Amino acid sequence: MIEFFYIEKKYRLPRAIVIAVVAICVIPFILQLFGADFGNALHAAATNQLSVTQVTADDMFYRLSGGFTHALLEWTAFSAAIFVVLLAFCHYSITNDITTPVIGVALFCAGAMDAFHTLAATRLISAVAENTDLIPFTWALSRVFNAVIMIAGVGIFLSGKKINPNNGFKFIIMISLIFASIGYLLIYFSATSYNLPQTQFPDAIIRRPYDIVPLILFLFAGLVIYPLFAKRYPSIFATALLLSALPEVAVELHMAFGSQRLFDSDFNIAHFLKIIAYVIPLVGLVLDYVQTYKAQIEHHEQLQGAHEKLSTKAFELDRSNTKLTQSNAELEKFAYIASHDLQEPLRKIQAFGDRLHKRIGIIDDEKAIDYIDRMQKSSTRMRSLIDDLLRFSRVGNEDYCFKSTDLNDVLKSVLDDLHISIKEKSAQINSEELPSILGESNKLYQVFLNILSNALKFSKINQTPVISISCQQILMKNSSYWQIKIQDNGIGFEQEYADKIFEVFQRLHGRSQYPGTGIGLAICKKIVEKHNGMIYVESELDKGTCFILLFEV
Amino acid sequence: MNKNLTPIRIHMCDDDPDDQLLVTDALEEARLGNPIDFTNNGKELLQYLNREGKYEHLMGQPLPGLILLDLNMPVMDGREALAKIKQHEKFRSIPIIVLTTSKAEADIARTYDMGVNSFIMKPVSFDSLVDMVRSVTDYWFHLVSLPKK
Repeated sequence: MIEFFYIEKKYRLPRAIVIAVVAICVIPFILQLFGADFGNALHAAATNQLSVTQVTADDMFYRLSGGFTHALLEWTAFSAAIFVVLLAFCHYSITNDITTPVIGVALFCAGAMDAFHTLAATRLISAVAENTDLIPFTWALSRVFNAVIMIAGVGIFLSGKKINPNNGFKFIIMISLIFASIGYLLIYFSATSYNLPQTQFPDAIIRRPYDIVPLILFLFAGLVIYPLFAKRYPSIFATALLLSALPEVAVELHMAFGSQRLFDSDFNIAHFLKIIAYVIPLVGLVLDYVQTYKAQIEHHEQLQGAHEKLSTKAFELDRSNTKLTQSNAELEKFAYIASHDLQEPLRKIQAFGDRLHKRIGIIDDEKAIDYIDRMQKSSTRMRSLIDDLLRFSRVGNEDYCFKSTDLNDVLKSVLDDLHISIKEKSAQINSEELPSILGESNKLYQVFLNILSNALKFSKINQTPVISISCQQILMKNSSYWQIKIQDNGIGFEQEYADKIFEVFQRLHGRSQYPGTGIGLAICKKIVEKHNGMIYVESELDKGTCFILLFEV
Repeated sequence: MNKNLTPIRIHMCDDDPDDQLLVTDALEEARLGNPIDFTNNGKELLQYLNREGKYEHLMGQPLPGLILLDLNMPVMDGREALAKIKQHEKFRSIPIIVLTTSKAEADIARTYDMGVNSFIMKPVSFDSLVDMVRSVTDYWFHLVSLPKK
């Protein structure tokens, strides 16, 4: 049971407000017990029937003091209702939560009903029944209407599924029209009826039996409907609504069991407490608004913080990217210069080695000659490594001039240049029609030469090499690519080395077995990447290797 | 001494003493009697040709019949020296062979534009250096006719 009324901390009203509301509801009753009277005493002049003919203006005001008080109290309540509905729409415009405007409209309609009741009672709109009947009757009517409409307004959200906020506004308008027209019709009926049922029984225990209905309805709302709503749509406003049931019930207790006649103490207390009943949802809305606003500021600050962090990150990323590009360019430049300068001393080592070789030849020392031979071989190898490194860094450093290049022509010149080794190995080469791409033909020549000469080099000894070149257009990441596959039936390798073979000087075989420094595919990769293309390899040991080239169409 | 029988002098402008030694050795190896002298950069080369500064004592002696020119040198590099020589009325007829380690296409194109007679990459082995010296002298000193000074 307690759990049913449990409100999460962030949706609670400040303790002071709750205490104040309870106090306001109880204190008038207690003061009354001690003899206090909040009613409008009947002025002596009003009771004096004889002086009716000589009524002064002051007399009129004195006589009407009860009516004025009643009108003021009612109008204050109505004003609170106006604020509630206005704030409810403000709240809706910020949060898009349709519960508040619907309930706000319900409250406003209830307030409007009170206003009609007041206007009729003060004869500002035409009413035909006696005020002694009209006021209690329209009061009871507006109270029932108030309770029903609140239960309906809140209850809508308890039934079925949640309403799509996108259709919210239409829904709000529809509900408002229904509420307003019901309210208007009820008042119209009361104001135009001559004979209204008796609603006041001053000597009975239940002095206003008609008020028993709203009493029960408000109890039902406060004990069932509002708590359910606060559970389903928790907000400070929902909590305030729940709290507002307390003064509503108090109002009905004063009316049903206390008020004996118009404008007496219980009557005025009830009207005053009704104002409180309207003001509490208003307070709830204001607090909700403050909370929403605070949350938004916090959210905004968080967002701003995140944004700042992100832009710092982006800036850092941009900077490190620039640095990386720079250091990459520097590295390539360095590789070029370093390998260029390394050549000089190496050339000397070789040249003087040659000189030494010749001189030692004269003294005929075989061992010394062998040593020098080994030295010379090493420097030759070093030379080819440096040469390759130079070639590699040049490929990266050079500016490319792209032209439409027919890959069939490129392939043809490669095959022409390889015709000796093709003949030697009696290799079979099948090629499909290749496309034209934007590129530099002599660079693409290097790529095809490298892959094809590899295919010939790494062929199986006892099998005719078969190299198939196929081409198709594929779609990748929304752009079209030419996919060129160069498949051989050579020795292949394990797929785990697929990335390694594109690295500089990475080899999978001994030098004596297959010659080469291991620069070729690294150069191929660089060239292909310079063409905004991709190169990768699929291979299986003893089955063959397939190089796959991708170029943008 | 008959002037015509004096072997034609070769001049080498190169900042690398090793290369100077190797070319000297190669000339010897090729059994060529051509004398050779050296300067270490473009500025010295121009002084040498103009017989200025420390080369003043060479005043009156014949100019070299062939210049082997390195490109990358301190003070004044081969490119600048080449430009100056080829603009010089008297010196521009001397055949100049660029002998360098540079493989840059740009250098090759540019020096030919500036009027160099040959562009040769420094050979790697001593034997090929000997071959090179032999064919260069053979070509420029025996095969072709050059204007009389």
